[in-house]
Amino acid sequence: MTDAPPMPPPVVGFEHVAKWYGQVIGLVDATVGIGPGVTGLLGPNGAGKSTFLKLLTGQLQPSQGTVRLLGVDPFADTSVHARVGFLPEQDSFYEEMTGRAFVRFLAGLHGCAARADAALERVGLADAARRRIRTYSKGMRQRVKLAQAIAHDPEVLILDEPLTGMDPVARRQMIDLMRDFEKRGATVIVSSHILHEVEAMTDRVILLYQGRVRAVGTREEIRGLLDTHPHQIRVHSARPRDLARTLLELPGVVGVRLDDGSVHVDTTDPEAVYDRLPRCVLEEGLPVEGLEAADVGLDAIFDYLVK
Amino acid sequence: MPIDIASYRRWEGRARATPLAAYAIAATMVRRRMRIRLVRWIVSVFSLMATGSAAATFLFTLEGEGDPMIQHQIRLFGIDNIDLLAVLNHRLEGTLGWFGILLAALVGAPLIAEDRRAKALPLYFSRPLGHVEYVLGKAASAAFFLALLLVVPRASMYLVEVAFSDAEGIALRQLPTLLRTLATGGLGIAVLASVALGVSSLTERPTYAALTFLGISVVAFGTAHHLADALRDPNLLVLEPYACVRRIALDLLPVPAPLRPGTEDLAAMDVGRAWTGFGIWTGLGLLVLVLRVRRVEVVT
Repeated sequence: MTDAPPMPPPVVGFEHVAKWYGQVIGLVDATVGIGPGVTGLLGPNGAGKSTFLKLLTGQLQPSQGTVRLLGVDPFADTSVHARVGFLPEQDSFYEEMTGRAFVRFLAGLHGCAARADAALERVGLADAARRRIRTYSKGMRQRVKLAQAIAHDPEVLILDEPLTGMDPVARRQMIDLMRDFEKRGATVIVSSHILHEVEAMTDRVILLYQGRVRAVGTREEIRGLLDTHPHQIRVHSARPRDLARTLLELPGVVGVRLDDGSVHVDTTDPEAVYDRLPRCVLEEGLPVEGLEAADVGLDAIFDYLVK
Repeated sequence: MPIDIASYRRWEGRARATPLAAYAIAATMVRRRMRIRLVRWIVSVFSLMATGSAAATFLFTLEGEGDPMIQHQIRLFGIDNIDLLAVLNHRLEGTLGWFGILLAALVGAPLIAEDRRAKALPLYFSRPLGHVEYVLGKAASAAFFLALLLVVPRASMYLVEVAFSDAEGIALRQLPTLLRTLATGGLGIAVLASVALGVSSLTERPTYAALTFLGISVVAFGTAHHLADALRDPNLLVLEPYACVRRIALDLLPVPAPLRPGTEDLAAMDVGRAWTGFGIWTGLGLLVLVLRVRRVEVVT
């Protein structure tokens, strides 16, 4: 799927953008527009998400093509960054500073150091604001990074793997905060390599793989694509041939392989397989010693999408 | 603690690029450095040195009522009050230079290396901040500490002399000398800060940056003096950055009294070569800095 669904006028525009690091490809021929609201940037590690975001935040100059952020080239015109908040993936701290001093410093570069306290309060870090960053947990570090990104109330919020290291409650709060920005009409771009994280955050998804934009669409459209992907299930059994024969009769099963005491099932309807297996044991006496979904990883999904 | 959205009022002002961004960077870097005990200790020592210099000036200005040894030196050097600032500056210059190198290694050389190690550059350059402001901010923080050493003692000597001297119109008469001493301090700051920051931009390890800067300073000193002696060419002292500054200082502040022992070669060095050497060292540091800061922006 390469047809982009209708989107509002783009806040972000990539036109045939490519980025190489010497011999290494970072991004290839990316053409995409992103409008207000939350947009997920999804792809496995090394897909080009960070390159995409660095180009967007003006940290990199494209090798080819044009990048537009709020109508201007973010690499050439640094003033546009006044309207952008960025949460980098890696920890980028002066560890001996307190969270408050850190956020005040970075907000001060926007001329709004006084906003630091409100930002820290908003991300739930007011109580720990005067502690040194080196004493923070991973989740608190993510929060302080978020605080520096939102302190100047940006029109565009760019978050690189924001949920990494956060506990479920903090994740929920982070997602609520993104939604709040969305309600205000802001543009939020959030990258992740975890499908269900992106699903929880947004309906609009850009799929990146091996430096290319593979698909742009709503969550339902991406899901639809993935649902036609034959899932692989591996079932361990002492009688794999008998089990394979039974499973082959199920709807949606498109292939079966035997491998060293296990059965590899390719199916477009994995639920049917999971429903049938207990009856195989109880009614037909077929031994089932274990089962595992063999290809739930995003890499496998992307492998399928690009075939 | 849950996120309290209600308490977060929308900011009515507009986010903007501030011309004070370089100041914000410099102020934060100075505060961070001052939290390091070693830095505080060295700054304290240098402050004492400044006070001592001022006190020495005070003793010289007493003319006839001061310590007999000081009076002996005045007779020996054949100097009067007007020349005191120049003489004291000349006598301090070498010591200040070495302390300046140590201080630049301690507070200047790690400045960019630590940003690269902490991967902090994306936080800077995703903001309305240009490379020039970033470099200026870092350079200003290094200059602040170097000024404590290379400018404050000179200014304090002037103030004490003006405060305690009986000479008529001493403040105005000594003002040109003060400005020249401050100018030489400024030249020292420029060459030390640019070379230290240039070295800093070459590595991600602050300690390596400091040691490399010290190594360059020591090797340049040894090479320059060895070659100048061996080839009997004082112009080869141009190979040492701070020697260029000291030669320029000698030109700006001619000393009537006998030169400090060991500085005869320096006096024999061509002042034009000294300016050229100063320009090359400072320019080289800045060139490396600009090229590397642009480059690290891309590859972090």
